[in-house]
Amino acid sequence: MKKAMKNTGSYGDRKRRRDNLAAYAFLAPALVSFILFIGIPVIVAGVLSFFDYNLINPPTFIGLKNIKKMLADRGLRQAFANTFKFLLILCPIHCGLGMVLAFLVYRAGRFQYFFRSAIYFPTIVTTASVAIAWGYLFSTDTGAINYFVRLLGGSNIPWLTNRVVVYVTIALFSFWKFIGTTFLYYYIGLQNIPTGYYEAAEIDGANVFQCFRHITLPLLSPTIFFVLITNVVNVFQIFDEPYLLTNGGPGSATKTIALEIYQTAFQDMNIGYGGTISFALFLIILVITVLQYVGQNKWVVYDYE
Amino acid sequence: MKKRTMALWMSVCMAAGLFGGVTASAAEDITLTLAMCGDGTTKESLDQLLAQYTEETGVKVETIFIAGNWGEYCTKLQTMVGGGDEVDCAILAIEGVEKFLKMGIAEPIDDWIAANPDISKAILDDTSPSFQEVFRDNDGNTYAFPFSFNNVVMHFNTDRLAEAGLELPGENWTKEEFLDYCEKLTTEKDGVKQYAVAVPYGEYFCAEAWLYNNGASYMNDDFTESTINSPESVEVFQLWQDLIYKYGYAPIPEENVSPIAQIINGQVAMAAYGRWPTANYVQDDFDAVAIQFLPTLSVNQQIGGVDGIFTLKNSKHIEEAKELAAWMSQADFEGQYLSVGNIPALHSLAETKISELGIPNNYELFYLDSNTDIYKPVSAPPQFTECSNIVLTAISEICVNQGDVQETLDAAAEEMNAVLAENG
Repeated sequence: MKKAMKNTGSYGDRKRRRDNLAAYAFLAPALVSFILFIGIPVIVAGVLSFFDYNLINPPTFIGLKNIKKMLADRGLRQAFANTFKFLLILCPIHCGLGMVLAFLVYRAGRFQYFFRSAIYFPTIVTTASVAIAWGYLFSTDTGAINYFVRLLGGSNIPWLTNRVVVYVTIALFSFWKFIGTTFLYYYIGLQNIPTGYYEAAEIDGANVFQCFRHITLPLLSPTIFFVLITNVVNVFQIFDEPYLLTNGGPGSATKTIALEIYQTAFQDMNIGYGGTISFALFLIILVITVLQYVGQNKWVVYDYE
Repeated sequence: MKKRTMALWMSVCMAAGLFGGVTASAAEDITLTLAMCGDGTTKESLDQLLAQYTEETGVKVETIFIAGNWGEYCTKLQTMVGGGDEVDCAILAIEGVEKFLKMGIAEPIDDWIAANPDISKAILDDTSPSFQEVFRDNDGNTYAFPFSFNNVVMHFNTDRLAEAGLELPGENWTKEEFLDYCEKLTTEKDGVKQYAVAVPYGEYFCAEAWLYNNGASYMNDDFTESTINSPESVEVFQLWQDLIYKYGYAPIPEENVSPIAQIINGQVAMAAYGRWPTANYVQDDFDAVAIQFLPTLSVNQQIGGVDGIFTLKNSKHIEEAKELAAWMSQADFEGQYLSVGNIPALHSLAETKISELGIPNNYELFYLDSNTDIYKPVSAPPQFTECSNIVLTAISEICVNQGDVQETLDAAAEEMNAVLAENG
């Protein structure tokens, strides 16, 4: 009896080991690329924060000089403020409107395929090329949009040359270009909600809004949480839209942290200081993500079977 | 004994032949890498010209074109050198010279000059001494010959001038005359406003040309202190802002709108540039264009930006690289390569090449006295990219964002002083 138990245990161990090995084998490509392209660069950026380095001459250890410089850098403060503005504008747009669009398309019946394709299409187009096209559309004097504005009796709108209006322009571009991604997450999330809940609610006399409020929202909360996390991270790293449409302008009104890092590290070739800002950004994103994870217990529903 | 002697001689001959062969094949196998700034539209013609060099010397040359402005080009070159790429020669404009010298990337060519006095004298006698000075370090070492350059002049769409009943202004035209031209050239066509002038948005070099004409500059001559907030400089920046918002003579500048294209399509009548827009003019068959010096705001000081072919220190074939750089700096090569775009640095060649193209009208201004000291080089400290970003942000802040001129320039000066002091 004892022997038999021992054998069974060995078999279980072997199976567990095999399962673990298989799991690690499947995880290995993702893990290796994460270590190579994210983990090591983050550590290197942290280490470089203490050096003066321009790629040509050997790095020179300068202690906390870069950190002191960062704390006194007015341009960087402005870049952080601009990034937070983008966060306040773009996150609600992507997280909120993406969900509304997904909900509407989900209930659109036979036109679902068309709407799905139309909404997702811009995400597969190269950002640089469409941003240039949008730049021309939004041009003050010769842009197509202002042409129609003038036709309707209005005057030119400074889409890209006014420090307030430019945020509207970038938000419009960002919505058109990237809403497809969040829309897709929500759409898949909606498909995973068992239809039985809706059928039961309808029998009980619930209307569309009540279904949305009491069934869709709670059961979609894991997706909302995921979209929120990824959006916050993405907006903190926003680069394409301001770089391609305004190059951080007018003045430095749309200069974001990612633009500042690019300029510092890859234009000014101040790799050490660029690393300091990158590492600071990494820490900020890390703290906010941890807070989001801690806060999720209060509103995310995982077990709804 | 005879047999043994014969055998010995044969062995010596064979060995000599073998080593000779090795040496010859090594010379044949040398391939130099040459980095150029640009989008590669001239790569084919450059490669053809360099094939002649290979025929003459047996040294092959591979060309790499790096797209972008000079700042971006220097950055990419720096990355390549830092990353261990083998680059033997590289064209380098004034904007990157101080920076590259400071980093110790470039190799002096004084020994080549001493060994080739006639060729060197021919080049140096025919180019501007102020440009030659750009390529010397504080110890007097020379790193390159002037290859091509640009001054900054006002480009006019002559159709727009004719429509307004205006002639090309005189070379000493004043600020008042300039504003009078602006008034007359600001019109409306088919419901779209036609502007008189474009402000130098995003153009570090062209913007400083305006400052020079008012006795101002971004920084002092030894690059130790910013002077961008001097009263003379403030006056020029204020003029640009007024041209847009007070008078309505200039469009609000935008990131994706090119004033060169606007000159060609007539939406803008004047803009300050070097000779490089001639490439666009030729491409668009546009010949209704003339040039004049910038208006004299208080002085008439021409700006100059020059480039040269540098030999890089990490080259494994330093001597061959110096030969190539010198070969490219002579009239035979320059004459065939520089037809549109930059002005050949050799004055005698510039006269011929620029008159051959025939546009723009009054083209002589591109090379008038270009072998003398008339040019003041653009401010190009070792911290060029940082300073350039500060200047361009200030221009954007003032010309697009309507920031207070004095306040914006004071902040820019403070930031620039920090950069100049930090890496000084």
